[in-house]
Amino acid sequence: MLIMDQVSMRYPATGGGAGDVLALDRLSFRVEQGEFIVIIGPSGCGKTSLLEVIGGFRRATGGRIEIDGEEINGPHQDIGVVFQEDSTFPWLSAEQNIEFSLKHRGVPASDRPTRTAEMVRLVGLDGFEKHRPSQLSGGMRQRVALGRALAPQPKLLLMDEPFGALDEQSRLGLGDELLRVWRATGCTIVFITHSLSEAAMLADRVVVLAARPGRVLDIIPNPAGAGRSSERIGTPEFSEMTAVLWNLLKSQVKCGKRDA
Amino acid sequence: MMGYSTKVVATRTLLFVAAAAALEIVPRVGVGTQLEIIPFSEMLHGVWAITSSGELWPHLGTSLLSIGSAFLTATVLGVAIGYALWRLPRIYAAVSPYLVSYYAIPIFAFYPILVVMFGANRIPIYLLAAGWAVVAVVVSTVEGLAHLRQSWEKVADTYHLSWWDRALSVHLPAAWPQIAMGMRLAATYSILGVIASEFILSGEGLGHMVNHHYNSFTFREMWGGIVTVFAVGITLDVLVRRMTRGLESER
Amino acid sequence: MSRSATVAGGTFSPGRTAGLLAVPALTLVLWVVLAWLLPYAVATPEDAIRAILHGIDRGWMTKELATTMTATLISSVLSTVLGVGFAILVALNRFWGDVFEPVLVWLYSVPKIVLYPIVLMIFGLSLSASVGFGVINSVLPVAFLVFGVIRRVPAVLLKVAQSFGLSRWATFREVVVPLAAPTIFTAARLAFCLSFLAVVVAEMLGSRQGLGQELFKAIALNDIARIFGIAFVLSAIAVSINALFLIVQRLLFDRR
Repeated sequence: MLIMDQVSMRYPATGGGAGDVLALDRLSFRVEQGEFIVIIGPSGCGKTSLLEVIGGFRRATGGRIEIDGEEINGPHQDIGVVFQEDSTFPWLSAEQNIEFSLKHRGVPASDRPTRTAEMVRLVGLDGFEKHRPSQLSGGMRQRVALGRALAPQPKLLLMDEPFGALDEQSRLGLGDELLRVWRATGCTIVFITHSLSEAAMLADRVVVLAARPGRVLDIIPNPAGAGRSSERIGTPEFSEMTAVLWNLLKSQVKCGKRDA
Repeated sequence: MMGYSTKVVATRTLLFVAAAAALEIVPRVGVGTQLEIIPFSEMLHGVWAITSSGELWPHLGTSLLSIGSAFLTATVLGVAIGYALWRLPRIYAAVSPYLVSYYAIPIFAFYPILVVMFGANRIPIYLLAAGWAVVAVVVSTVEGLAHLRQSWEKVADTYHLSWWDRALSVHLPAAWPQIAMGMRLAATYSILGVIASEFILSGEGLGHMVNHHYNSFTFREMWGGIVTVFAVGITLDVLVRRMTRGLESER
Repeated sequence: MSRSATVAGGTFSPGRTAGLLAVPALTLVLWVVLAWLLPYAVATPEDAIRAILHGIDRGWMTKELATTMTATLISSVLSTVLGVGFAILVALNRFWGDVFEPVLVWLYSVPKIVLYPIVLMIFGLSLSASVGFGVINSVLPVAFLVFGVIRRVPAVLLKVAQSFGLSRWATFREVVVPLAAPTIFTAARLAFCLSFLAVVVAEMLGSRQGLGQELFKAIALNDIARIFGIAFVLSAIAVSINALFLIVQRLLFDRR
């Protein structure tokens, strides 16, 4: 349902010495309905640019991005975004944060309380819905951000290293939660990360990007089934997956260091 | 294609030039004359008039001396008091609502009391300006110290630093950005305190000089004095910023 | 264990109230001591209060106070509106924000009291002169403060708004304003503080009305009881209104 067709992103020279920067170079891949895609790559592979163009914050300088046949040229109403940094509104409670998205996606006021309550339950914020973000931990705040993005039932959920700022155990726990939510809602997820184990744990398929400029290096299917969870950590298949990914990325990381 | 920062600086310069041009043209066209606003070039001529006649220098010197001493006093005392209050949080909690209202209190009302106590000399002016500026430094110091990270404190513990060493090498440097901001405010208030006191009740200094020309209807010289005060204000602010930025980059 | 000192928040407890009363109590003690030591310079609290009551009785205290407070109110409102308005307009645009930032800082550091003659000439010795002077002295710090907070809105929150398709105006209304609201409230308090002071100074310098003018007359006559009476009234007002602002601020914004 998401089609990346020869997508390129070029940033004009800023006068700091270097010329134009090509962040993405003719990226092409497809994401099917209901898939959980993880995008992984070394530093500088254009992951931020990817988020910007799929999220519609910037227009790609080349190529085309389509979601269900419609071209993306601005923040699309069927795409929800979860950012890496804390993006909760500090002056609103958890449930008010979630309701914010319903309000701005045109959900009538009468429907909002029920849908908000449903979402609170779905992302595991029961009992904390009236709390302010300052009273919640980092992990809880990301649950709020997730709830807010999911509440309007978007077709695509775009997540930019959402657990990157958390400790590893929280990451694993939230990863499991995310898989549960994904199975419950059936929405399509594009998840960007640095982490090999996150990719191996969460993905249906992993899109591996090359270093600057970002190109699709390979797309690796995950042998893990739909019932996967953090319990797979340590299993031979899991280790194989991370090994395959690392093999691909290893050369890119060295590459990046030389260029930098 | 101009770089972004060049464009910013160019626009700012253009704005200043436009303002100066307006100040030059508008009075000449006759709009400002009822208001005694003279053309910008005349103002500069006024500066020339007071410098060449030698009138400016003693007043400038007097004011600068008072401003400088008030500023230094306010800074040193302010940091010391601020540090002490930080170490005594209960006292700070009791005092802080009043510190917050400090700058609304018309401290000039106490100027005559100081004159009676210390005589009609520069001391009341110095005391008033220093007393006015010090609170800005106190508040900035406490706020800066409030950002002290526990980890830095622990590092100091591992070196068994005495409280004095600790204050100088960990606490104050950590609070430096806020203290620097407080110092810039102290410079402003020192200037304000000195010039305003001279304006109201003094026989010398820049404030007095401006007031004198105003009362004598010699507006060109008055504007010259005003422009000088502006220049002093800006120069001092730039100086303090230079000074504090230099030390900050050592971190 | 925290060594940091912060403005103590929370409910009013007997301990806290005692603490807050400590400063006025100590000030009173200091006042009495100074009055005893320097009877020709410092009036006793008794005499000061007597002078205040005399002023109320004769009418000048209430009348001039009303004048001063009117000028202060008008100046505060004008400064807040102008300062906040300007800051919002300029800060939301990155380019103009960058252009104006140092200008605001420089203007801020210039002693504006020297503009008082100009203000007098524009407005004459009227209420408007006090208001004008009040605005000149307070509008820049207000603008500066609000400018800073708007410029520092976290980019990620703006992105969230963008991802939901909010228009610029809606983003401003639903993200920037709630985030900046506490600071805008502080700016209003600052507008009051600086306006009040500037108005009193303007009145001292030549206006024909206001409590500042009464203070100046008392200084000229060396009527120390009246000097202290007026100074006390002005200080008490400054502190009380600030306290009011702080209480309202805590009620409105403390749940963050």
